[in-house]
Amino acid sequence: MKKERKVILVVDDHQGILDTIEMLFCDEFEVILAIDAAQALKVLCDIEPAMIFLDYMMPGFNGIQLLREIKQMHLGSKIVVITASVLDEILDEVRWLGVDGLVRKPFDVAQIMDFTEDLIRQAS
Amino acid sequence: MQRTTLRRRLTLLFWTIIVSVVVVMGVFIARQGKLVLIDQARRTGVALTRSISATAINDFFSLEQKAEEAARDPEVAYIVLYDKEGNVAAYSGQGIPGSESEIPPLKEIAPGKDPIVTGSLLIGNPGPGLDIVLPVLLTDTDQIWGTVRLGLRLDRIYSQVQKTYWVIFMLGLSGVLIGWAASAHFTSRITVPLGNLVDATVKVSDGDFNARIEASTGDEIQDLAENFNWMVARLKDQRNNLMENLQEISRLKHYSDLVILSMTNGLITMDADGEIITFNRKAEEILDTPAGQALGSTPTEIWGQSNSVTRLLAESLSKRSPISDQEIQWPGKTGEDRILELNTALVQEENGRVIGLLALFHDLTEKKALEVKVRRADRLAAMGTLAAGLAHEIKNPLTAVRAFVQMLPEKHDKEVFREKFDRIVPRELDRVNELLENLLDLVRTPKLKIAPLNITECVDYVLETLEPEIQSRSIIVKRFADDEGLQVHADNSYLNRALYNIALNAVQAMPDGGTLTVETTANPVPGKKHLADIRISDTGTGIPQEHTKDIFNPFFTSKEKGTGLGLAITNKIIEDQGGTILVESERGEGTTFTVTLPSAAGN
Repeated sequence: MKKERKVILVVDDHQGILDTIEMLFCDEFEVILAIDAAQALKVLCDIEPAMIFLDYMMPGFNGIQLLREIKQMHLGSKIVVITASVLDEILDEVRWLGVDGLVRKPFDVAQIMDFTEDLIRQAS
Repeated sequence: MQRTTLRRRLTLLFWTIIVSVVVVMGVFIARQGKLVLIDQARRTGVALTRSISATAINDFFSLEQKAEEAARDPEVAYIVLYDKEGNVAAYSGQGIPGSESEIPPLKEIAPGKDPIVTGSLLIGNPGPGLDIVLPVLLTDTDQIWGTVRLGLRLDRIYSQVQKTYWVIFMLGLSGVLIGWAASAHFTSRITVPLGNLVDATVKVSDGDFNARIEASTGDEIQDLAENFNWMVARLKDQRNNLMENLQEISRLKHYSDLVILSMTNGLITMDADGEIITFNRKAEEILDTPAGQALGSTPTEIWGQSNSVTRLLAESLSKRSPISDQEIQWPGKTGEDRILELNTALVQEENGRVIGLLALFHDLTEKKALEVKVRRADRLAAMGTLAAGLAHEIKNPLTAVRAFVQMLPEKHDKEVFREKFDRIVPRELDRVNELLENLLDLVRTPKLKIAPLNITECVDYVLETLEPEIQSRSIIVKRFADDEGLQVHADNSYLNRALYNIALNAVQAMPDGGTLTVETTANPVPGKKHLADIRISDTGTGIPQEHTKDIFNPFFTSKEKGTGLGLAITNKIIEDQGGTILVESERGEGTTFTVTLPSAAGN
């Protein structure tokens, strides 16, 4: 029987980022993509991912709002916020809410892969 | 010279009249009384003489006896009997002198029966009296038998007359005194109220309007007093009204002076000849001219003929044309020019006659400097937003491209990677390129081909292009046009792009369906260019109130997809074509964009 792969959820309004992260982790993980908060919440109703990549600056439903909602679900998922922002004060708020990692765009492939594998290993 | 008062004159007049009347009457009464008494005495004397002569006929003895008897009367001074020759026959009486020789003979025999009366005693001591001579005739004949002479004393009568005179004098005197008192009282009845009236008028003329005259004489004097009191009361009322009005006027004047003084604008008023009448404190400050120098002078005298303010004020006054919001340069104290805003208005009477000019100066220097600062800050803020937006938009494709390039050495032999690389990397690079193109659209001036365009055809084109999107969301489209042939002045392709952007936004705001309404109406503005409105409404989610002012800013977006440049470019296109774009939105109700463009009709 095929070993069940761990799930990574990527939430970002930019298709290019979704495609990129999918490409990075598709060999080892089941990667689910969500282009907005609604899709992400729909996914989270059924699945508890090992890890969630979250773009904090999404129009409409703000990334921070989504983060709050996810936190309220008390999932076992590791949460990593990805941001293109250059502003620090919003990142402070993200840290305060409690995330497991923060990745700035553009990120280094090797770095993000190592970082992710470490986190998932910790979880399991 | 002492003035003869009315009272004195009237008293003197009445007294003179009374004295004259009393004197005339007194003299008349005294005289008449004396005459009456003397006449009575004469009659008595004649009667006595007749009775003596009547008894004497032919009987001398009886005659003598009768005469003796009569002579006893103290009133009778003497009785003398003469014979027919006129010689003294007998005599008696207290007034007879001692010797007979002193008794004068009868000078002539009385010829008739009537007595001869002489107004004084002829025998003895002279004195007041009557001398009566009567002939004694023989019985039944005219022959004279003798003559009787009787002397009658009038002493008693005279003393009675003296007494009467005295009584009359006393009566006259008391009449005069009573008359004096009466006239004094009577004149005082007139002159006292008149004096009061005079005093009262003096008081009133000195400003004491409480002066009143009390008169209860019940005649014209009282009428006069009452009329005077009424008149003074009226005067008092009128003066009080006048004082109140005066106070009100002075209060208003004080207030308007304060208003003019407190004005934050410089105020100048001039009369029709251009002479300055008002020059407030702010005007002194702004124009750096003391009011003392300005008041009563003309602008030419103060600032010279060629000064810009002088010219503008003179022109506004002479041409009767007000100036509004005219900006002028004015040399400031520090040497730097200040920027003033000048407004003028004609001061007109109700009938439209121009009696002067009013000018208001507002110092715009600080405001202008602030505006420059604000514009600079706005520009910096806009640049900041733009830079942040740009960074965000570029970092996403950049992240993707970088990651794929980094993955290339490791994964290039995988078919799925190569397939994704070929698709995603060019797409992300295109995205960056598109972003840059859009940014350039925002800044460069387009070459517009402005021509009359049928607006209905433009809307048709846009809706056809959007048809797949509309179909996929089951959106109902409603069209309204009050004139199918309505034309606007615009560039066809740019307008299509702008309308497409707005309609696309509308469609995207209704992911679960709704109604898209496109309405075109002529918008005639009296006296100005005719306009046309294109209203595009959706029944979508709406834009929060706080975002409506930002939606035309670059990189502002509330959509889940998009760069945030679409509406910024749309706004620029419409503005480049001389139009405006307006957004109204209600959360949960939908959004309406109104594009207003110059109409090709009626221009």
